[in-house]
Amino acid sequence: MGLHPYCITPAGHAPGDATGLGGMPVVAVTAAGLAAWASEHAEPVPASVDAVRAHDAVIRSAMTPHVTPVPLRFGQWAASPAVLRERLVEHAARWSALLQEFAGAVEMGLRFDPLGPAATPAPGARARAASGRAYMEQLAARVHDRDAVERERTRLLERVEAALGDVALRSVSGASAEDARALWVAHLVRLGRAAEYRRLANRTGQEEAGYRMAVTGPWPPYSFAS
Amino acid sequence: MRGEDDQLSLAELVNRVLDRGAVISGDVVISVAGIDLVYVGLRVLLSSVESMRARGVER
Repeated sequence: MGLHPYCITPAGHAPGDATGLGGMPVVAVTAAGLAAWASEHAEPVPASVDAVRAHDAVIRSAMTPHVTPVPLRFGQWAASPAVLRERLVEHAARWSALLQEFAGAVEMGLRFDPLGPAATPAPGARARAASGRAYMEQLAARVHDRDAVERERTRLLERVEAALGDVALRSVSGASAEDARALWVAHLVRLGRAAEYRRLANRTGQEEAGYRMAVTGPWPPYSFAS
Repeated sequence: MRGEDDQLSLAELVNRVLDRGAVISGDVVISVAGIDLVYVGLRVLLSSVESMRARGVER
């Protein structure tokens, strides 16, 4: 038996009758002024859509207007409550600071997907680079494309920050794994300003005609807990 | 449109839960229960598994 942990909260923030993966009851393991919400299982629970949803649901059940937990990544395992307590003591300073920062805040997300297909090299173009000159030309073209993508992503990110910087407490961003031209941005936003965030983000999306933009959230602050 | 929005929300959820969030120890072990993970989540999952294998972490 062991424990699947979901999130970190201040000590005394009780799970009540919350249930987690497989319908198992969620308990709080406490140490160093913190609580780790977890459920007990015979072995680590495999990832699935249902398990991912259940994990997120427990974290959301811990959120109140004044408490926003530190979300834990799925797939962690503690052999016993004693191990969890050790981890709480080990990370107490960092998690206490995050809890203070997260209190009353949520994560909002943006995703910009470019419209239209990416430029692709002509079939066999790379294979035809039999000469050194042709090879260097192809390499230069790939570097140019990559630089152009990077410049555009920077421009878009600056546009987003100009529109939403006053509403966001913190931001992180990155390129999509599927398409380097796609941009994702996560913002930490006070709960009371989430609607304002969504309005400003939608207006920004309408002004970027080359992209399909989506606003998601509110989320627990996964992107700021790593 | 609704189907696309639902799929996007699920992809965003899977990305966050499997690839972000705090880590309490050095190892994050994720096994796949089936093949019902959306493509984005599966890539994140496989990337996680492969990177763990490269570091010699086995369950």
